Amino acid sequence: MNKIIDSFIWTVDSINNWISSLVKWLSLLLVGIGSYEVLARFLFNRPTGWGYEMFLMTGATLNILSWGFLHKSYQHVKVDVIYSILSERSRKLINILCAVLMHIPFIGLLSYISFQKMLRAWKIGEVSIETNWYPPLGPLKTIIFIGAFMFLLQTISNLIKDIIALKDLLKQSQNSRGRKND
Amino acid sequence: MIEIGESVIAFLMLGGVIVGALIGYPLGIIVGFIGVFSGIVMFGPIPTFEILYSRVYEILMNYSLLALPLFIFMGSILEVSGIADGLYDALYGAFGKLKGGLAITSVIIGTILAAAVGILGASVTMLTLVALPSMLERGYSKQLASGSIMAGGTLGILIPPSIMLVIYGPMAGLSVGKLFMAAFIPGFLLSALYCVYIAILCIFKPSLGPSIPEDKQLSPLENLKKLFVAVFPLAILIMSVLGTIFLGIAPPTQAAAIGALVTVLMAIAYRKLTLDILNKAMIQTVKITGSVLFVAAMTFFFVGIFIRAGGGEVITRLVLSIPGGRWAILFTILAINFFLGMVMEWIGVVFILVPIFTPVMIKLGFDPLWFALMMCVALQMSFLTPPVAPAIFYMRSAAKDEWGVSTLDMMKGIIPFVGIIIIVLIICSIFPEVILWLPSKMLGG
Repeated sequence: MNKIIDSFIWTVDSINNWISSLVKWLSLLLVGIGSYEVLARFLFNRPTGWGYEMFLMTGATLNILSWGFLHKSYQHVKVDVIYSILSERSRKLINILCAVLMHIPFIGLLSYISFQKMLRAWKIGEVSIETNWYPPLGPLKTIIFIGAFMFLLQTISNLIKDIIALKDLLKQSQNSRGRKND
Repeated sequence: MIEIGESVIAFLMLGGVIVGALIGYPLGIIVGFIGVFSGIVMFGPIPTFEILYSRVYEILMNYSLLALPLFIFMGSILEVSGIADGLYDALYGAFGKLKGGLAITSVIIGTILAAAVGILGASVTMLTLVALPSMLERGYSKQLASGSIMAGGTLGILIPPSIMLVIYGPMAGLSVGKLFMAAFIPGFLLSALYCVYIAILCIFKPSLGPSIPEDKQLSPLENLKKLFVAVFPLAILIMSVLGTIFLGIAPPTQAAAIGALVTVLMAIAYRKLTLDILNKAMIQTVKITGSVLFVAAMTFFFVGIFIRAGGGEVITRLVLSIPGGRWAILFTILAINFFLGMVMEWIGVVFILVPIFTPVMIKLGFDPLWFALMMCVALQMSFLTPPVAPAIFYMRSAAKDEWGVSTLDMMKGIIPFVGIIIIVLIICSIFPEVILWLPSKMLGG
């Protein structure tokens, strides 16, 4: 059982690490597409047909895929006025409760919806009608699903790690209390 | 589905967000969960799911918001490549002769960096590392030194290209380009008043900020050369980004792309671009963009549910019932904004308050652009005030213990600058042209 859990955590964490090392290059690509589009229009007077939507999709990919690995080290925006003065044990407890009660149900739901939307996009061959380039939306919606799903898996992985850490903390405090009593 | 009064729902939703946020779990999750939960209770699952997906999709595919990664990338390259490092040396020579000159220098560097970068932490950290030890060495008062660094270093929130304004625009249905132009004069007014305050203070109490000794001063010509070398590349960059927007050549997102490209080329020209620097810039870009847009998507969804549930009207009625006319209402909203900004991250404040309050203010006859800037200046103030004062936080983490600057020094040092922000708010209320004049001159906006 422990082995399965360990390999689950390892797999999820390393997939998200791998995603993060790919996704960071998209920021450079975004600069490339964005400035190419401007230069093509103003210097050469030949606007690209694909630049605008390619830019949007690159940005969307960068964003949705980053949510999972940002959560790996709890880098999402949080209000830590109270959190920062709590003990390590209470913090873990908050993380565990919030993950079980809110995070997993909510992101699980988002993954489920984006899975349905992805299936539909492929089935009816949905295309984007923002410009006259009409790119298919299947790939983008697949990426949105992957982003949401990897966020969900990362939350589960974090949850398990937090539970293990909390157990250790409790054990430690029990040990030290035991020693005091001796 | 369940019949509860609209106002009860509105208060439960907003109260839930504030209480939930204070737990300290990622804000986006709290807000999103409360949104889904209330949506399912009120409208049933299917419409709620549709709203959730379409709102997230809208934020992910929002053209204006994509100026964010580009500006952050531009700022990160500037920050980590050290193109701006020569600034302090150059300005030190130019202003060091004045009493309080180094504190003024800090404010001016903060202003220049603000116009080039727009990432908050960067300038406070840099100024703390460079300017703070040099001011302490010259016998500056700790409070004045730290206050000027924090005040100057946080100007980036307001002075374009500001990340806060990039986010504010889509949330309030305003053009980001116009917001940039509207923020220009208030931002520089703030910076100028900071400098004037320091100068006057040091004339009356020279011991707070003594001038640098004669033998350390350079000749005027040398100074000018140094100043030119340090400021020139940044000036080009600032002009190319803000100029493009002002002249109506390109919207902020495209200007940001060009700015990012110019920064990369500049870093290459200065032989400062290494793979390591590029890597750091890319990681920082993804980190800030991803975490901000996650909150953006979730609060955008939350507000969608909130408005649909009639919460907007509840707030409107409530706000209109505040006694004392529209100025009292404005004051109340700014105060709410400020106090929420004191305990919460500004991102959450902007995302939740702006879409809810903006329609009310338009109904009361306030210009939305003007109101936007009043909100942003008030938020600027909450950046400097504890308990959640990002400025103090960044300074504390960059300052070394042996310099002996305590958190209390920082808090005391910031008070006069907070007073100046309040003065600027009053000036902007009496003379709305301070905000509205420049955007009205903008071309093609």
